[in-house]
Amino acid sequence: MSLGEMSQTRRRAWLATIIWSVAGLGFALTFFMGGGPGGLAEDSSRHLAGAVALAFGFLGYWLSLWLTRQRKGEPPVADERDLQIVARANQATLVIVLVGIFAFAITLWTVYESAGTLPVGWMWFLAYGAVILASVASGVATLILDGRTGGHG
Amino acid sequence: MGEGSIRSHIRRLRFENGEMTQQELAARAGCTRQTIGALEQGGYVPSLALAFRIARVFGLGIEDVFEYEG
Repeated sequence: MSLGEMSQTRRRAWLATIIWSVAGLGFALTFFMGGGPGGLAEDSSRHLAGAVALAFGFLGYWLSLWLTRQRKGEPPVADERDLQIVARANQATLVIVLVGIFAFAITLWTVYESAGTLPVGWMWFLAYGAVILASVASGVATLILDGRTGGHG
Repeated sequence: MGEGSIRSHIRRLRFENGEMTQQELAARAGCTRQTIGALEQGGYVPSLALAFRIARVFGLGIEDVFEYEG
């Protein structure tokens, strides 16, 4: 199916998934290739790289919204089915992010319990990672739900 | 209690009405072509308002277009 044949919801979901996956990859490379959480607090270049990854995600996403907007004289590009898909995708995203944050926090607890302290860089990773996880999960959930309702006929 | 399912006769009605395209029906019913496709495949249950609008395009009652299979 070409991009032009897709509904606005599906197009936006594909673009969001791709944009935020790229942003997430850039963010993960910045974090882990630069030494992980250790020394992150003093490393302003990695802070900047993480912010750039997030800015890329947001700017790319907003640009995709503008590019896929309803144009004058065009037939409806979204309807009640799209609203339903997006609402259900948001519900799924909430659960995915909650489970993700819970699992991450419990893992940190398990690893650092005996030490009593943990590198503060993990908090930075959690903050940025949660935004990226939510954005990717929302796109993927939308694609799955759109596929299940069979809107490609 | 089971929800049952809704079967639509949209595909047949489109062809009986001058081979109306999905896009044409969608434009007249105020929805997207993808939603018409989803309705024909049985993947989506429309709201009452959309069901009435689609039936109105064909000049039929709602029960002539959609069938409840409980």
